[in-house]
Parts: sequence; C-alpha cells; structure tokens
Amino acid sequence: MVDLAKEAFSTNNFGLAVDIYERTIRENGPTLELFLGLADSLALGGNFAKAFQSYKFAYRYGKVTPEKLKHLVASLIKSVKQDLDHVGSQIKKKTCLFTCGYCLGLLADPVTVPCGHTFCRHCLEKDKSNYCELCGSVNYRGKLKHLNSNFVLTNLIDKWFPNEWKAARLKKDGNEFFAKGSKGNLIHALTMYTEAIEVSPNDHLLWSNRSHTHASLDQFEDALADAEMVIKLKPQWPKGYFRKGFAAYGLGKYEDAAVAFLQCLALDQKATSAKDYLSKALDKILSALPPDDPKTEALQQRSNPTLLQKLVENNFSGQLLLPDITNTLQDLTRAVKDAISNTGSTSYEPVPLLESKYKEHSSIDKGTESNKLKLPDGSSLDHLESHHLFNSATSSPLPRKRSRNPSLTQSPLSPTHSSPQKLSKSVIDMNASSNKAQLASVESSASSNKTLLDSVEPSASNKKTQLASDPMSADKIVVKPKERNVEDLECGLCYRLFYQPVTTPCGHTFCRKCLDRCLDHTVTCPMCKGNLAEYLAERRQAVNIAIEGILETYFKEEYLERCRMNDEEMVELIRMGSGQQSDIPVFVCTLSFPTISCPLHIFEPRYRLMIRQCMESGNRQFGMCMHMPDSDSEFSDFGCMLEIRDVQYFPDGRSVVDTVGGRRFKVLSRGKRDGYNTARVEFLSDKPITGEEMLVVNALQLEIHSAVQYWLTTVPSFRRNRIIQHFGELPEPDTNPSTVNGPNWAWWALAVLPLDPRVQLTMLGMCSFQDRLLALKKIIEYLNRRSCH
Amino acid sequence: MAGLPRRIIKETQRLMAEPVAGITAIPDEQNARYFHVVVAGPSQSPYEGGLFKLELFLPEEYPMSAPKVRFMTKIYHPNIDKLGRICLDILKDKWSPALQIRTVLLSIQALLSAPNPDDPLDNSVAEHWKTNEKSAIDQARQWTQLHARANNVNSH
Ligand SMILES: [Zn+2]
Ligand SMILES: [Zn+2]
Ligand SMILES: [Zn+2]
Ligand SMILES: [Zn+2]
Repeated sequence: MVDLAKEAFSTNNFGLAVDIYERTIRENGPTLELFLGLADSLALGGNFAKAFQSYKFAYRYGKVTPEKLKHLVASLIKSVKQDLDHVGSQIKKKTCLFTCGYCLGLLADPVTVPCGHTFCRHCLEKDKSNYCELCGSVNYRGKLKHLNSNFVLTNLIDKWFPNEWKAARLKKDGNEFFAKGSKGNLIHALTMYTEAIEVSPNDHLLWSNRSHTHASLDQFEDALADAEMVIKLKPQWPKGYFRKGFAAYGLGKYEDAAVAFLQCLALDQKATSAKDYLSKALDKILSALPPDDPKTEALQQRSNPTLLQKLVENNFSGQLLLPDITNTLQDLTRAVKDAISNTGSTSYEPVPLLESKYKEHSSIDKGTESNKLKLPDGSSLDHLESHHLFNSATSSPLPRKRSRNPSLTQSPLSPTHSSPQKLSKSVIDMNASSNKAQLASVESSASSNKTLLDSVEPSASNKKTQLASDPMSADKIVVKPKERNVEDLECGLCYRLFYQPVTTPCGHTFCRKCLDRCLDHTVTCPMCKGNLAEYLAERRQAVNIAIEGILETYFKEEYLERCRMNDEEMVELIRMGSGQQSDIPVFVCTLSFPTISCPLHIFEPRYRLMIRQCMESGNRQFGMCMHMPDSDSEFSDFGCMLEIRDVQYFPDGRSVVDTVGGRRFKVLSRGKRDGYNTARVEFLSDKPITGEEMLVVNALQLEIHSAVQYWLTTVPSFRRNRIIQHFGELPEPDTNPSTVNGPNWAWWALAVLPLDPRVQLTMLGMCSFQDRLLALKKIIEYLNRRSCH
Repeated sequence: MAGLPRRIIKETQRLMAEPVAGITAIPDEQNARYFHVVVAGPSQSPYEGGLFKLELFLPEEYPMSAPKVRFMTKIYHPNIDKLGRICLDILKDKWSPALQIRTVLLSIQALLSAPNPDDPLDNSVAEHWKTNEKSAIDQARQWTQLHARANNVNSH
C-alpha cells in the first residue's frame, strides 16, 4: 500500500496519495512514515492546513529532522512565490539610477555592464552567474576587471551623495573589523556601523550589517530591532527578512522567524540559507510538545495569537485545527507588495518618472505633460512629486516624531494640483493603505508580538521624517539646485546633454551617435584611447539605463530639449527621399538601375554614417550616382535610389549592404551633409504609353527581349553563369510596360550588357520606354552582329 | 547645410568666458569657424616677450578631424616650418574628437616652451638646435624680437 502511495506521490497524484495514506493509517495504525507521507502529500497538494496537522502527528510518532520538511518548505515557497514573480521583476526594474540592483543600496564604485545596467563593482564580483541581475542578458563577466568604473556616475554620486560616501567608508571599515571575527573586532564593527548610520540613517545596508553583527554577538534583541529597520527602509529587499528571521530565531520566536524566512523566500527563491532556517524554524514549531493544559493554551492563543497562528486562524474557515496558510500568506505578500509599491521615496529615485520610463521609451511625451505642470514659483516637480508621493503613501495619523525639519514634511502640493499621473498614483497609494488598514485591523488583537504589519505604519512615518531631514533622499538634489550642473551630464563630443548615452568598457560615456561617428574613424575611445574593437564587434551599445533615467528625472527640461533637437535632426533625415522633389544622401560610386540588386561594401567613415542614418531614420534608402572624376560636379546628373534590404556588419564596423535599385532621379543641385554628398533631386518616371503606341512598343519589346536572349546564348558559359548568379535570370517581357520605370528586363539588359557607363547613364535618364528600347535595339543588334562574325 | 554645430558655439563661448592664460582666440566676424589667435611666448623660453599670431580653422568635419592651425608670425622653432605649419601629433594622427580648441592651444603653448628637435618639421632649424642649442636659442630670441614684438602684431 505504501508503495502505491509513494508511486502516486512521485507522479504528482497527491490526492490519491493522501487517500491511500489515510486509509493505511486507519487500517494499519499510525506510524511516523505514514504521517510524514500524508503530510508531504497534503503539502504538495496545497492543503497546508491539514499538512501542518499531519506533520504535528508525525512528530508525535518519532524523530523528524528538519531535513524531512523539505517538501513542506518547497511547497510553501512555491505558493508564496507564485504571487511574487511578477512583483519581483517590477521591483527589480524600479531599482535604477543611483541604486544597485543587487544590494539596493547607493551604487558603490559603479560599473556599467554591456546590457546598460549599472551595479556596484563588489556586487558584480559576488555574482557568479553570467547573466545581468536586472534584465537577464548575458554579460561578459570574466572581463569584469577590464571594465572601468563609470566616470559620469562616480562623479555624480560623489557630488550629490557626500554623506553616503562618508557612510560607505565607515561601512568598509566596519566590514573589515567584522571579517576578522573576534568579539573585540565585532564590537569595533558595531561602532563603525553605528557611526555610519548616524551619517546616513536611510542606508538599509548599514542597519543590515549592524543587525548581523549584533546577532553574531548573540545580541538578538538589538539584531531584531535593526532588522526591523532594514525592512522599514527596504521592504522589497529579501535579506532584511532574513536578518529578522535570524534574530527572531535566536530569540526563540520560531513562528516569527518562520514567517520572516518565508517572506525572504517569497522575494528571493534562491536564498538557500533562508530555506535551511525555515526548515529549522518549522521543525521547532511542529516539534513543540503539546501543552499541559490544551484548553487554556487554546484560549490564550485566541486572545493573543502569534502571526503564524493568526494566519492560520483567519484562513481556516471552520475546519479543524490547522489553517490554510496559503491565503493569508498571499495577503502578507500583497502587503509586502504594497509596501514595495510605496517605496519609491526611500530609493534614490522618485517614482513617477520611473514608471513612465518603463512603460515605453516614448516617455518623453509623458514628461512633457508633467513638465507643463511646473509650478509658477519655479520649484521643480521632482521635489514636489516625491514629497507628494511619500506623503500620500504614508498618510498615517501618527505624529511625526523626531523630525528635525518639520516644515519640509508638509506637502506643498494639494491634491487639486495633481496631474492625472499623480492622481492615479495616489489612488494606488490609497488602495495600498486601505489594504494595510485591513490587515492591520486583523492584527489589532496582536499586542505583544512585533509583526511585519505592526511595523508598516510607524516605519512609514519614520521614513517621512528621515526623508525630510536627511540628505539621502532624492529630493536633496532639488533642495540644492546649484549642484545640478548640466555639464556633469554633457557629452564630451557634441557638448550637449547626453542623448542615448552609452558607456564604453573604459568607463566613458557618450551619446551613442557621437561615439558611433568616432568609431567610424578609429576603434579607440575618444577620451582615453582605450581599445574598443571588442566593444564595437559586439554591436550592443546598450543605452546606459541609469544615466538616461537621471536625465529624465533630474534634467527633465534640458533633456526634453535635447530629445527635441534629436527629433528635428531625424525629421530632416526622414524627409530625405520623400516627395517628388527631395534632398537625398548620395553615395558616389557607379550606376545602378531600377529593380537590379546591388551589393555595396561600405568602409569609408562618411558612408558608414550615411548608412547608419538611413537605417535609423527608417528611410532605408539613398541615391547612388556615378563618380565623375573629370567633371566639376564630382558625380553624375542622373542616378538611381537604392533601397536597403539588409546590412551585414564586419566586427570592425565595415559592412556589406544589400540593396536593390528603386526610383530614378535627376540631380537639381548638390550639397554636403556630415561629410557625405547630398543632392536635391527630381524623381523621374516614364511618360505613359498611349493606346496607339502600345502595339508598336509591345512588338518592339518582344523583338529586343528575344535579341537579348539570343545575345545571352553567345556569351561564354562561365560569364553567363556569373551574370545569372549576380543578376538572376533575364526577366520576362512585361504585358503592361506603361509603368513608372518600365519593364524590369530592360534594366536587367542595361546592367548586364557590356556598355560604356556614359551610355548607361544616358539611358537611365530617358523617360520613355520606347526610346530606351530603340537605344537597346541599336546596341543589341551591334553586339549580336559582332558575335556572329 | 546645417548651421554652426552646437559644439563649436559652446567651445567658443567657453573660450571667451575662461580664456587660456597667455592666449587669445577670437572668432572671425564673417566666419565662426575661423579664429584669430595670439599666443604670448612662454616665459623662460626664447619666445618670451613675443606675441605670435596664428590662424585656427575648424574644418567642416570638425571635431571628427583636427582643427587646422598655422603660425602667421615668423618663428624660429624646430617643429614649425617656414610656412608656419606645426608638427604636433594631436593635430595629426593623435587627434581625437574629445580634444578641443583649448587643448590644441595649450599644446601649442607647451610646444613653444619645449621645442622637440627629434621630431622636426624644419630640418635645418632642428639640426641647428641639435648641434648648437645655445646658438639656436639665440636665433629664436632674435627672431622673436624681429618678428613677434608686441606692437608688430596689430600692424600685420
Ligand atoms: Zn550593490
Ligand atoms: Zn541588464
Ligand atoms: Zn554627444
Ligand atoms: Zn575611454
């Protein structure tokens, strides 16, 4: 029977496994193994209430090691995780600008990786995977030591976050003491962390490290208090819950510990030590001896339940002893989620812009909108929005304690001033707080136990006072506008604000277009001459997400202006080649013809730029004219548009561009742009063939077509093969030759026949199919006559 | 086709706002890409006391290609030839678009302080420098007196 149950279990048929185990227990009597099997089946089937009950029974029948709880732990994690997968990625995406995606702290020694994300160097060093923590794309991590720190961000952080820098140095000292380990050193470490916290009280990493140190000194009460602070500051940071769980475990508060570890795991399923400790905590809870007086115990629990018990009770709808833990945990995770959605104000960046940023790249429009809402007193929205944010997020009735600068905590922005964007944000906040209120009322009977939900409200008010008084908050920059220097975010090549900033492995940042132009000439960094061959060959050139975000957030107006300038340049490029008369880029080389394919090798810097601009503007076409070395005008008066079908890049930036001939044009005037030739042109089309002419033209068409066919048979086979390989077979005659460019086969003939380019040029400019046929007739008759003799 | 690039405007503004000590560079009224430059001979160099006129032109391709700079005032220097052309790596293969007018001017000033006869443009001057430095320096000083005296500059 047991084998049958195991089989059902291993094939994920948990319902059946439960049935069999229950029957076996009834028939053969209870054993440790049977109850454990039953409990595991229940847990994996998602019935935690009964699972807990069964585990408890199992503990009555023998020794159960924490190891044996792995199915319970796995299933718990799975059930909490489900809800957070999406949230997790949201959280991650919100951490940018000055925040590291690993430690969620202020970037320390920022390094930009090829996907465009920036992290602390030491955080990158710790990650042994090949993937970006934020976007999952592959980064060349073996080469981390070849990546220089990002100069722009280092400079900005240095200027904008001086206190955090001071704290970071103290923390480093603290870490060194901590690493040495002895009691004396740990006490030194505590002192360092405490000093650092005084300088930078909103840095959750400092509190976390101090919590860890307290715990290492068996000072679990202090460790717990610090951990609570970590969670207040960064509810989305899994490690905070681990610290709390660890401290609670040390204090013997196993239920609190279990909840905390589960919260940690909900945010980070990979936290193996949290998994181990969750098993241990559950083991302690489940193995607790039944109380001497079960009735009193039950009564006590009802009047003063722990969080775990409450989770149990509130969701165990009228059933027996153990609760369905899942739902309540989901509420919990929802609370965590809400807390997370409100933490924009504790991170280094204001939330509204980030949100718009992640919706799509066209965030500029949105920015314009909110930009218009700039208040008449000239105060920046960054400031107002962030205030507004944390005020609405923390509309708590609690008095604002310890505020050193109470005036700053007053929001200058009444709801009537809110933009739609802000309004929707505050609606979310309202939901969040009402959600919290609900949960808090569930909590209200809890008096002695410190729980996550208890701490939400006070934490929020603390957050506010700290933000207002502490320079760490994002709006500090607004408070001191003279530190907001546009030149800090200026491209060293175009002397404008960065547009699509890219950071090279050597740590230098440029507008992508500016760097591209330099790389057209030489594959070294314009700043430091560092070799960028590999960087160029990768062809990733991802925009630096942090710097772009900083531009959108702190240099909104200037950045909008910059985007507008870029758009204007693009419009100019896009306009090229549209309309009957138009300005087009001109590639000066040889002649090309409508519908005839034409592969080009692009290596000259100016043409690399031209092709790039054609691709970027979406125009994907340019004119080609014949080089005229003997004339004053450099290139021919007639030419043909080439439409880009494909571009293949060599690692060094050269490319092979596969094009096909399009419209013909006549050059009206010549110009230059960014070093290459341009022309104002008039597009040519054949004059329509009238009904009377049609018979003559068609007869002529068939005659010349077969003459060309004949000519092809006279060509040596190796040459014929090459022609066909390059130009394809001779197209068929066209039943309706009255089109813009006339039948394709005539262009094929013009391209293939051995002709003087000047003749080709003349025929390219002819706007009558009949004229071209007559010219072809002369040529082909001459060629065929010659081949006969 | 396009107007004056933003970069040139900014560089010019910054040069005006914070000029390089000992150098004036003023854009031509007709052509904003053309600069009238006057470099004062660095102290403790044979060019001390002289004011040297140069022309600096930003080609269409600037900053992708280097500015074109030429001494208008005659100068006795191993790295500057009779036509006033300057042998300076950053004006040639070592040019980088991240360099600017200011860096070019500073480099020229430095070149006056430290002539480099091992990388000559004018071989006879360089030879003179290498065989008899003192005499070459005297010659340079004389030329400075002769061609680059402060009051000469405006009369040219
Ligand atoms: Zn980090
Ligand atoms: Zn990434
Ligand atoms: Zn740029
Ligand atoms: Zn560099």
